[in-house]
Amino acid sequence: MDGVVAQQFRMTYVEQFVWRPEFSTSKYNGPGSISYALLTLSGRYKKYPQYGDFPECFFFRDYGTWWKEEACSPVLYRPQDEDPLQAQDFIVLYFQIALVPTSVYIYQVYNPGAVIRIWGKMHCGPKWFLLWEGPPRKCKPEAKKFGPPLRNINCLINLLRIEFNHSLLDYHTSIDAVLLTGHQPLTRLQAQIIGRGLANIHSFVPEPAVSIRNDSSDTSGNDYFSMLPNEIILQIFQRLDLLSLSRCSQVSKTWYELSKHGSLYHHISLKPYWNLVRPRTIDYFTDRCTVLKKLDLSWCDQSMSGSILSEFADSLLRLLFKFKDTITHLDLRDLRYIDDDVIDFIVRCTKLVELRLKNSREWTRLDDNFMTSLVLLDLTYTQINDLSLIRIMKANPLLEHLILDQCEGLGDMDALVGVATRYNKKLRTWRSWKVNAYSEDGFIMFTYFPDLEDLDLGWCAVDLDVGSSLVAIAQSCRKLKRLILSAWRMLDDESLAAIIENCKEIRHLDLLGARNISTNVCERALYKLPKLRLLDISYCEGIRRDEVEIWTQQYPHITIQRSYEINDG
Amino acid sequence: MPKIKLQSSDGEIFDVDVEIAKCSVTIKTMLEDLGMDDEEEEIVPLPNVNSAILRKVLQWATFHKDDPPPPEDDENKEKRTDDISSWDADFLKVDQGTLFELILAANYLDIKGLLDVTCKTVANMIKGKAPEEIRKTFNIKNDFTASEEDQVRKENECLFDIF
Repeated sequence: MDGVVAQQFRMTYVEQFVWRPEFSTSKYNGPGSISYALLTLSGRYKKYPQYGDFPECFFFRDYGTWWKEEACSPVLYRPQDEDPLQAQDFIVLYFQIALVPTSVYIYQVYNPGAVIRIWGKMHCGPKWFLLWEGPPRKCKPEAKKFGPPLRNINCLINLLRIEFNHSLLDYHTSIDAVLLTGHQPLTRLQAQIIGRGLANIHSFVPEPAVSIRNDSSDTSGNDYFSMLPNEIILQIFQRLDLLSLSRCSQVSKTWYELSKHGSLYHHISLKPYWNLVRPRTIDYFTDRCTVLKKLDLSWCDQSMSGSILSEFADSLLRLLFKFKDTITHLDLRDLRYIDDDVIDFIVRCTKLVELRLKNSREWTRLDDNFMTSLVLLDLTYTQINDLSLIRIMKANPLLEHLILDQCEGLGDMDALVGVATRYNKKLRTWRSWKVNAYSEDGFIMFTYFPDLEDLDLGWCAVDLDVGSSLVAIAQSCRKLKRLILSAWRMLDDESLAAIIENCKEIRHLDLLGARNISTNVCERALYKLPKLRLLDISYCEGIRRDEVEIWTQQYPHITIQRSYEINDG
Repeated sequence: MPKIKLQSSDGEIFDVDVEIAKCSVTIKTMLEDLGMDDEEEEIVPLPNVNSAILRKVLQWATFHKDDPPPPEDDENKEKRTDDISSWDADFLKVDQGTLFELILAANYLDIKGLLDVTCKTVANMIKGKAPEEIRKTFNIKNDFTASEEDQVRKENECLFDIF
């Protein structure tokens, strides 16, 4: 496996754990907390080979396919460009020593199997190399040191990006540490040669997204395409991904003209090409598109230098300015160049129906708002403050889905729900996982939303006695499908019974940490909620583990989560 | 079941169930506009479709006669190319000439489902190929001059950082 270069140069073999975790698209806790945080990934493993739910290890928020089935889940803007392995999340990890990689080991301590790709970034250049990829796997519930065979890359890397697809997981995945091994150059000359990729014997043409099928070349010598009217060729082109379209434009003069047709570029999704997208890619579509309606640029900022990030921002500004009257859907998740200037342009897109800004941490203020047609707004992990959010809420009476998970800038949650009761009566989704606490007065206002289907109040009522308001919510919001009450420690049997009696549509119920609920009432949820598919009763101390095991047998259609607890039986 | 006679461009006559013939919007509209009576033994000429292709089209239409009508606004579904049924995939294992004639026939007869699946099949033949491979697959002549080709290549280098 050792690279040719390593043998030629007689380099030093190095093993190193993560020096500094740089980025993650998902987190269980806010940056204020060290439990389950990305930071835990630095250094050696702490728990491996133990297996379980450890606050000392990094945790992802999503698991399974539940997230796909919810009303506010992202829908592909351009299914032609779907990632075949459907990466959902990634982490970026920095290692101190740049080396020619030989192996990567991922120490998974809880629900392994979700790693689908490992990338390495060239030490002195913007290129990312795919070191390994493979589909997600169903694994046994035991600690796993995952070290897939890597492609031979004769290039220095010190940054890894690991992509995940959680769809086969029963519960959250957790990682203890990541080890990168390889060969380090001994002299500066070696470092120069390898670092610049000069020793690289491969040509890094990316593999086609779809493998080339049995070649169906025609032997008759006829150009059948010339029989087709342009409108049909365009119909065929409509079904192509953006990379194939760019190759088509180089085939012939006719194809060149047709491949530039504006109707092919109403919806653009660059996320699957995050590693190939540069600011000029955005400029290219700004020039080519005539009418742009949906744009997915999430993940497309993979250059670590600040100056390029500002070029990305400039290119996006030009695009937004040109299409401010046509764009309806904008997905800008996990981008580090969304700052106040970009937001100023986004809010001028008056036709916006869907806006996803998750993880836009450079954004600090919102001076104006011209959006009035929003149906979905995802502000997960942003710093939005009360005033800015209220300004948007008041102007958008059609708002149905509002996602505020881990928005630390929000202060008075009660006041925000109050605004919604007056201006956003159509709300179907309200997610506020781990935001500031509400009071009983705040909770009671959720009774104003009869169409509510998805209510996430996880960690928002940790020590509050909220029995009566929860009963009222259960009686008013009978369409609830997903109800997240994680860490409602004071939750009692009476309020749970009210949910079971009233909310017959519930599919996903999260009661993590509700230590006072009894076995009796909990079992009632299993047989009296006909649509229930996922019940989380981790850390519910009133419920015995042996009961849970019996239920798992009795109700095989329901996934019952009981997080592994060290002291548990 | 009432029948209808369809005549291909080369003169062959096909006796077809009306319900199957009507999966072609062109024929359906023609019958409705003319108010053609089921009893009459009239022959519908199809001057743009030869007998070999018409036979294939009718085979496809017979297999799919009970399909639900395609949803009007599901633009995402028709843009995927990984959802061709195994029957359709087998049905479309034909030489390129037949495939392209099927596309033209589906377009002329206005059979949305057949046009959709044939376009998907051609799209799959394009996907993942380099420009030269595409030309080779479809016998397309490279009519760029050297300098034009260079310019087009540069233009695409701007698109993605790969070539």
